[in-house]
Amino acid sequence: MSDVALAIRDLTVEAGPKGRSVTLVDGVSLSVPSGKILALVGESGSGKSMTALAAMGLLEPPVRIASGGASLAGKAVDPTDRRQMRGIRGRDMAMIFQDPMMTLNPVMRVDEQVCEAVTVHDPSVSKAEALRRAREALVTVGIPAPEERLNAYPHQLSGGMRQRIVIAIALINRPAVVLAAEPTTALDVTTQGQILHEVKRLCRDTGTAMVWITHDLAVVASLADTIAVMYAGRIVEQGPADDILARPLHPYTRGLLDSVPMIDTRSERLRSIPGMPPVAGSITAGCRFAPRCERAVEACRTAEPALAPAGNGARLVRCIRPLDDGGAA
Amino acid sequence: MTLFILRRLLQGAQLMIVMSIIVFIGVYLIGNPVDILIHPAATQQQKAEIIARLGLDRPLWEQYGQFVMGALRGDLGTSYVYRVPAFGLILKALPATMELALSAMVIAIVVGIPLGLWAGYRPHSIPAQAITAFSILGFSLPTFWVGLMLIVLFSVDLGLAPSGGRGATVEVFGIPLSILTLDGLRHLMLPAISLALFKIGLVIRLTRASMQETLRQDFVRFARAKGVPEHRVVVSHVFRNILLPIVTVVGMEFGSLIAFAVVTETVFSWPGMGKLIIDSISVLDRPVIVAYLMFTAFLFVLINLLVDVAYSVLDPRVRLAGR
Repeated sequence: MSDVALAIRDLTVEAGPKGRSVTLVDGVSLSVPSGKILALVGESGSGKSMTALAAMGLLEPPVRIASGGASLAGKAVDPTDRRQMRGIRGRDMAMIFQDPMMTLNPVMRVDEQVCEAVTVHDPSVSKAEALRRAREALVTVGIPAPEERLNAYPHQLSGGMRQRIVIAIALINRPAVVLAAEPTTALDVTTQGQILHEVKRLCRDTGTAMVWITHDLAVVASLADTIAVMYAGRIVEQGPADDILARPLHPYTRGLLDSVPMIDTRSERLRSIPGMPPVAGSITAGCRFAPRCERAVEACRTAEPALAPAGNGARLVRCIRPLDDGGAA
Repeated sequence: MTLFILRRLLQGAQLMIVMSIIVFIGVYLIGNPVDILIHPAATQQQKAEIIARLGLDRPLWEQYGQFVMGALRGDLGTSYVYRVPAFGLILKALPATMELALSAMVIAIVVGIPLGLWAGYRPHSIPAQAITAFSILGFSLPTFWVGLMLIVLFSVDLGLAPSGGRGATVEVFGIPLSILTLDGLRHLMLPAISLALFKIGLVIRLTRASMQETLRQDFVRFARAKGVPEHRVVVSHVFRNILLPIVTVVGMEFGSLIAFAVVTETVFSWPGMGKLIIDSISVLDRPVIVAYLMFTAFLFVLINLLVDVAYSVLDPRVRLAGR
């Protein structure tokens, strides 16, 4: 199960007219093996959702892929090739969105929306067969009385139920990889926990890889195998989830971890990272995090560090002064 | 649903009562029909006789009372000019207006929706901008002027279509229709297009705006993420959502189309209700004016009710209160 399900290489996404364009995602490379979960972490606007949309070929003008490529289960795919991507989306590569209230079409019954995912990729499947698979898919994600849910309209279902249906749709064709853009953020904590548990089990059982985009490190801790931290369109730290959570190397990752409330440590005040992430287009020379970094030195402001191996070699960090002591700053 | 319809009908009845009072007072204020109806050479005694016969010597509230009593029996008064029941006159003119209004509506939908979808799907393309510009023209050109220009161009200069009248008609279930004869169709063409132009502009703008708004929704993105082909995304995901505002607006606009027909019918001398009401106003034929206005108000109530019911059928989220 260690074969690579999805690999993204040097992906750069930009927006705006040629010549005056703004870079939103800058040279991002990622890979996730089958059956594993990669968490893509970062603040709003760090480019994590853009990365996923770009990989799906779902960017809308004026946002576009400037360079980079991807491979899916070992085969090269071109996210800018609309015809090719149309066949791949939903079959080999699926996506789940943040707000389950908005993801299902409000005027279409659930059965039609689930069956459609099957029939658009294989028109030879009969209606009865598509329905049977739909029912099966709903059972897989833990939906009781699937028959009833299939006959309902989205507004008749709860948020958690809708998100399960969305996940069922994403998984129905057994894709190699699922890109999930903060799919539990809009749900209450109990439902969130249940869904995370189901998703983890499904990935393990079916060998589907998952890229889980989130800013919630509590979710990451219980879910991810590997983590990639993004800041201002760049990956700043990457490696096994346990290592990064226990011993972050990049000051930004440290900052993110410090801003998560912990139930077992008594700190008077929750720490936050001072300042705001740079607006795309206003990025200056040097490390992009330097203006907000309390460890920054003069060298940080002159040249941007490369994403270099660190620690035992399984980790990558983009910092000239990493927190090698585990970051007890 | 039944309860909802009953409640709406009750509201409609209230509206009709208020409408009748306003109409009655309004018509009373326009002027005294006696001055127009009675021959200038008539003696004072003849005048008084006619005034008494028409009941115009009574106070306004008494005239209104008589009108209401009559209306409850289905009698909206007798035309001063034609000496026949006013409501009968309107019913006779109704098919012509309906035919014109429906034709205009169909043209507006068939032309407006596809153009609007196109303009909304690729809003920055040149054709989309041309469509939008056209819709602004359709919106802002006055109907009577468009009618006159159509006559000048197609009837006078090109001689392709007659400038007025209904042409040959065929009776279908006792209703005369122009659309089924070639001659009638040629007569219908220009007034229908003239009447439709404003609505085409409206439908284009509405469809375009709804399309742009719906395309940004997450469920459209999710449909694409499922691998749904683009034409299907537009037709079955987007269009079904857009249909709701379109049905509402187009339905509501149908009432105004009947009302707007007044101008077009006058320009093209189309023998419908609009022409009847204009002719009646010029001779102050009070019962016909009152009957027309009451009937138009009734049509509006009815159309709005039908739109609400259609809306609940199309949108599963709408459940009419009291179901």
